[in-house]
Amino acid sequence: MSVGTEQDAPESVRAQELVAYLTAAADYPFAQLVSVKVANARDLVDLVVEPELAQDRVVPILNSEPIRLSFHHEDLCAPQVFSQRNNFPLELVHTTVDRGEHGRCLCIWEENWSDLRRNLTPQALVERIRDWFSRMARGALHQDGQPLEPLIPAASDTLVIPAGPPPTEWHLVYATQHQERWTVITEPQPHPNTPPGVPQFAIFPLRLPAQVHGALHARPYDLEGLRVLVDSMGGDLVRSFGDWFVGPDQLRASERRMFLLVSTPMLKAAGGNIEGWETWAFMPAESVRELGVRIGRTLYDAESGFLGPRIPPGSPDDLRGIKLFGWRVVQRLDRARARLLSGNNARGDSALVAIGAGAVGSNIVANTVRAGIGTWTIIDDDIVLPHNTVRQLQGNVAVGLPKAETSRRLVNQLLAEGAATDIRADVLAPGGQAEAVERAFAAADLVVDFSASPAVLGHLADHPAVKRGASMFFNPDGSDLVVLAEDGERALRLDEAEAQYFLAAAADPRLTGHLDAARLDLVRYANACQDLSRPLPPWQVQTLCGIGSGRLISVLADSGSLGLAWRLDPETSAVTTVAFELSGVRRIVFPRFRLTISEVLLAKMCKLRRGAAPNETGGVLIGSFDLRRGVIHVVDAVPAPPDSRQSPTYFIRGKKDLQPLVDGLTVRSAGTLGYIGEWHSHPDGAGVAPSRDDEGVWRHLREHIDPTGSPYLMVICAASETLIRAGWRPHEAAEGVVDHGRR
Amino acid sequence: MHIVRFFPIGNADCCLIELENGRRILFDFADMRDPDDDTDQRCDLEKELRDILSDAKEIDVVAFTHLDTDHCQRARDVFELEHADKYKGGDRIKIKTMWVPAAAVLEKGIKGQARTLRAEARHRFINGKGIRVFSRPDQLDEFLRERDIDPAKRRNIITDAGTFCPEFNLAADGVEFFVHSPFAEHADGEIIVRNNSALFMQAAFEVGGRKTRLILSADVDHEVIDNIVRVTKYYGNGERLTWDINNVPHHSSYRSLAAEKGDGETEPSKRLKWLYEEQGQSGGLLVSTSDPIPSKDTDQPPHREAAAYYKRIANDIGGSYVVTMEHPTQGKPKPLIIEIGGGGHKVRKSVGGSAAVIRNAAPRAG
Repeated sequence: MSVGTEQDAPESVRAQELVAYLTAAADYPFAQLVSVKVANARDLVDLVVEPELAQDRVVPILNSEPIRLSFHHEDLCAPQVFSQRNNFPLELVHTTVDRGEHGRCLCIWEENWSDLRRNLTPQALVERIRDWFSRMARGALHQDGQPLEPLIPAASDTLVIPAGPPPTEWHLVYATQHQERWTVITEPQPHPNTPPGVPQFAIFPLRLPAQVHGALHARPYDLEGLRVLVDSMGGDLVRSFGDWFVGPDQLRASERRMFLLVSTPMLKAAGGNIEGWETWAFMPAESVRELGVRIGRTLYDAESGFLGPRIPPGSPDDLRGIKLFGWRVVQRLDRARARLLSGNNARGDSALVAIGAGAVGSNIVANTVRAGIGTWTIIDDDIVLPHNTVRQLQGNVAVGLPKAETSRRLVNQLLAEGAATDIRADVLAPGGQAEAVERAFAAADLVVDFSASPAVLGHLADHPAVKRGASMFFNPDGSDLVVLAEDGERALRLDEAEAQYFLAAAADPRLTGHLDAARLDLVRYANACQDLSRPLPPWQVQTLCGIGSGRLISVLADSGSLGLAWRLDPETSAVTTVAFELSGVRRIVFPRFRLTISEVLLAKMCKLRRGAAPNETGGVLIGSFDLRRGVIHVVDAVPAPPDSRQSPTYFIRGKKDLQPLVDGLTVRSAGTLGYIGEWHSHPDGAGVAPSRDDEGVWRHLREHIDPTGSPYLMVICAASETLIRAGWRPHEAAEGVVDHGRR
Repeated sequence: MHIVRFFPIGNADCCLIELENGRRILFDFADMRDPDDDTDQRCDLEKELRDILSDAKEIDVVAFTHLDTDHCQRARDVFELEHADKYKGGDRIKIKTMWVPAAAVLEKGIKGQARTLRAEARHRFINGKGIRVFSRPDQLDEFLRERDIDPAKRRNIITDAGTFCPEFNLAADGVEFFVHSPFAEHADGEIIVRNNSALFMQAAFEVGGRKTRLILSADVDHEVIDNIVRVTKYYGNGERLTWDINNVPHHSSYRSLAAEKGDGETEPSKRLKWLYEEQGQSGGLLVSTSDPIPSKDTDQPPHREAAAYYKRIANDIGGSYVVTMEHPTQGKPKPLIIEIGGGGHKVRKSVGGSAAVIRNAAPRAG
């Protein structure tokens, strides 16, 4: 360690761990600690990093670069990184223009902090910085074709009637005529923006008793025909119709034409529930005034212009002489009707929460609302930016406005029945919206993560109020859509499904290339100054979101867990479905962290153990971890490399072809999966207790991996149970035993 | 991408070049580590080499720049030698072609490793295959005639200074080797000075149109280098002494720079200054295959005065001076791995952690 004169004890755990790594790493970390200072609620750690540099450099980065890291004591934000070099090249993208108190700020992090901190071990932190310098030196930091970022960071005649039961009031809000055909729109409330000059029609509503749906009646063409039909259904057209004509509105505006609207609730069977409403609309040829006189309820003096009630009423004309013109009635859609018309077999509404109203979220929410899925609470704290409009529901008018609110507004325009509410919040830091978010989670049948953020996915997985979670996201080049869903009992949580998804991405040949466009040091999409949002054709987005919407409806109908990817070939437009098996898991909760191990992995170790008997066997373990949540997922066991040495009393794991194998898994899982420890078997009768040799393995792992901040495991598979010992600084190592036969 | 490796073996040499096309060239092999000394920080060279070779059982070219122990220690235990059955079989690594200076064939009165390797060189030379001998002193012809071999029949396996090694070419291998030394005169005297009759070469790699040049200079002293510079410039071959990587001679001995150590920094002759100060390319890398640079004056190399000169040169050209026993740290030296690509050279700086665990076998579990 090269220590300068100033050496305070850092207060933040992250700075403490960094210092530990730099001073205790088993192998040289290509970074040297210079000093630690504490000032203004920040730990300032100065170090010199040694990036890997080619001889030819686009930007003159040096073999040793002095930097300062500024850590927030409460770990509320990513550590800031400053160059301490006075002559650090100016005018570089991804640096600040001004040199501040601590030096020129380097824009190292592309992810939001909640995602980044999941895996930012001290080693990863130093490596990210070294890699930044390396890429800067070769001019690879800002990729060709990457979009420029904003300077300031960053949402016959037709009558249309309302959905559902007939309203108590009818208001004609709009009427248009095209090629001599009218379209008239009605609403339960007057519309403030009804344009002047819209022809006005009087509306006579008549509600009939409920009818059981049955044979079709003949259409009436005159008032008498309608009267007979209404009478047959238990109504009284003439009396109520006559009373209507002496109402003040009709007497006042008597020149208007009128609608007769007859509505009846429909039943499937007598005594059953109302399944829907049927409304007929008729328009007589005469005006209100003329009709009132013809049916004997009003008097009209043409000379004086007087119109008033006729007392007592006179005898109506022959009602057959009052012709009726039938109008096509279209009822706006409520969710129930939307389900019916979209082939959604759900019996009622589901309550859903959408986290993220971006490319996937906004489109899938809109699609499923069209299918009457239920109600959505849309949670997002971002605003709409111009490039979003290519792929999201929102258009130009929404630029600069909150994504959640604009999505809600657009979605609520899709059906006659509002389906969405919104909360402008970051679910990981909801602040004043915490209660609203909690309420939405608790009320939801399904909370869907559309955020493309592993941190959000992990948050949902852990959240006790969530009844069931799902996640839908694109792969990095937008050609594949993935859906992960918990089962109804949450026996498999989202993060456990995600870990197995990454294994499928790494090992399932059907998913070859799925994550090829990902950078190993990033998590899915990022949205900061090095935004790698790639060009994404809207047709591709719509195709996959359309498919995903359908699957989301199926998820609600089926309580099982689900792992699926749809792969779209942009050349042929063919879509291939890849369903990957999701295994059950065993969970071990240690005092300071927890671990899951898949049933498939346990079975695999047991099988390898039996196959090698009487010799011991073993290999390495593959898994992922979340630093912030303290979770380790173990998903695969690699069998013994061919140069391993096996005997009934010992096992020495070889190395032949191991590194490329593990590196391949890491690359194909976008850097998510990696080596996480060693496993070996014990013969029958030996039990799982670690031997003296095993303790040597443990010491070896601790020496090499502990200072890096990554977790490490030693797993011993015996006949009936498996021991798992886990180390993860700064916590105490812990161990647990899994019984093969009993969950 | 080609890979050049130097190993932390103290004041000794071993440089492995792995070409993009899979061919390998090993310059010297001196496994110096004392297996009985736990504090010995020098690497287990045989293990390192076998790990790299993996399943391969043969190296295309093994060059012994000269036969000093610090260039061939344990070579007879690791490589298959064709001249005697006791050096054959098992897991010995085969040498397809051996490169040696003429002195390695002609030296007399030698013992140990050197004698065994001389026997192998002579065996291959007499049989006329599996060897290339550098320089053609009269004594070499005499050696052949004494064994009833027409020297003209061996001309194809002798390469003179100022020419290329025919085993490799840019088109097929992405590299060419230009021989600067030895000259014939180095092995024609009564007494052969091994260090000065050693191989001195320039390897010029080409990747994506970018040439990266590596100078391998063994243990030659400043007078030989001065002469190499003179002759090379005379023949208009100055480009053959440009370098992006320079394996500085004789473990950073001042004697490879000048007759005098100098005060604080060795001052080389004019011609050597030209070699280091003008022929070194921007970002150039100087590699000292040596023990850590001492802080005090010492008799044995490395000499801090020579190191001071090399460091200054490295600084002037924006490059670096790397000492094998100090890379990446003096406490835990590791092999120096240099990638040769379209952007010149790049020193690989891989950190440890789980990657280090996977790279190696695990300890015994029971």
